[in-house]
Amino acid sequence: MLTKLRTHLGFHVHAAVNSLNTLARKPLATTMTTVVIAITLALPALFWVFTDNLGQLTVNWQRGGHISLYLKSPLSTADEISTLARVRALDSVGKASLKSSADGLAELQSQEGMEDIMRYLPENPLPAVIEVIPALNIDTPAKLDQLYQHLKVDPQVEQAKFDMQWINRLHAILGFVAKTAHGLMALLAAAVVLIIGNTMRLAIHNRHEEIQVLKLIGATGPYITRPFLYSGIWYGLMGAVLAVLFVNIFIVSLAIAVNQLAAVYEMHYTLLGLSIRQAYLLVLSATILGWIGARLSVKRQLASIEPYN
Amino acid sequence: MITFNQVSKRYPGGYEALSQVDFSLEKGEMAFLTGHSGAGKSTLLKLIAMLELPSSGQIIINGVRLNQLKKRDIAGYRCTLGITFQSPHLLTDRTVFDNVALPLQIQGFSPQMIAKRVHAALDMVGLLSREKMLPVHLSGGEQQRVGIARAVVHKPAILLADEPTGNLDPALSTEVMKIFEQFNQVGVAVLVATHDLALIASMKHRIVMLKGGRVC
Repeated sequence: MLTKLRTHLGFHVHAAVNSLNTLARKPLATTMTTVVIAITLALPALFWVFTDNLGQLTVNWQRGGHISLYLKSPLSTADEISTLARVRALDSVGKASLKSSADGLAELQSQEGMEDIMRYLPENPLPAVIEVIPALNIDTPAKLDQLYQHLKVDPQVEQAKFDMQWINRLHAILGFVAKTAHGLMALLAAAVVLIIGNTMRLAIHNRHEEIQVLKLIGATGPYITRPFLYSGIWYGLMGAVLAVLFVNIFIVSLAIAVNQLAAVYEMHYTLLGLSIRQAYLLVLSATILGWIGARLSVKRQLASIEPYN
Repeated sequence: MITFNQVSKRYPGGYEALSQVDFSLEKGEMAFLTGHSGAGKSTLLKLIAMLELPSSGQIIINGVRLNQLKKRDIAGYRCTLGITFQSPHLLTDRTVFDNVALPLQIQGFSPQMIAKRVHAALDMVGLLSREKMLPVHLSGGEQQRVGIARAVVHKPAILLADEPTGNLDPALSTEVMKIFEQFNQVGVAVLVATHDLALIASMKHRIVMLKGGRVC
């Protein structure tokens, strides 16, 4: 049993090393195929990174967006302060600040031309306002809406204002972009399978005679297939590693431009590259795709080669 | 070792290469298969190697009934044979050593064992000093002998040779036949297809004559 296992392991090591040697013997062809695979993989990876960044960006925006609570008037200062304390005590509230009706009046009067108008008003018509900034963990429209509904029914609150529409729209657009990305990923995964399948077809064609000799001297199907499957795996692996490199180089070069843009909008935004987990996932899936591509192409073709018929 | 019972081989189009051949080769026996071109020599060897299937009749090799052999068992069966052709079919991108090592690699021998056996086989055909060379740098006779080394390195029970001396001059031909005799002496059954009548007449082995697809 152990010797059988060791023999089998020996076959695999032999096939893996052999296929790598074969690829190394034709560096130009190998590099070109790898680059094509890398570009094919880089496209969905970039899309992935962009949707991640957009998601991150909307979280930032939501944090900027706040809920305005117009309190009932007239209300005593003590009531205003107790309402503020009640709002502040909520877990889902990040920050809350009170603008009393006097503050509001002072602010309005400071504006050009408003002072005269205000003078004719018998009393201060402005209600006190509490500005609520949601906590960091409120990152979806649903959670935000929950908070909004909760604040709205507070007994001291006359009216709560919050424009949900644009956030809902933005999320719908993001969902659409993510769906498109999935479709694109499926298409490009198929492209990787086809590229590797076609490369293997050519490789088998070039090694027709060797396969004939191997079949003649009694090599089994799996023995002949194995080096080609490993070639597919190497192509997928090398292509993915190169794709990760491409994406990160692109992101780094883009980050400078993005920072300038963010500075204009007085925002601080760090562009995210591929995370370790994403890179790992990309390499793993590309390797599996390489194996699938090689297997699809090799199995059918090898059956058609017979020694000296 | 080799038994043919009423074996016929008809190719698509109606050409009958072998018709009702009865033939046998004992264990450890050496025989020559001869006849004109097209007499069916190559076809007979191809049937043994399962490169072709008979149209009718039964072939039993080393106790294996070939018509009952499953497709996935063909590879294992071929490992028990040693086959060499007029053209040795060496892999041009691998050294002499690697070419000879192929049958052992397929069967999963350890690298140490492979080195030992390959050196022994190359020594037997007198090419030990050429092990690191590529086949293209060898003469025709040397390439033929590498092919023979590859055919015997895994110690097959049966050695089949199809026109092994077709490209060689008389001196080299005699040398190659001597190598076959050496293997025969250690118990390998050897079947050589050749039309070099002058050469085989000088050797004391059974001669099987094929004419128009029949043994005569």
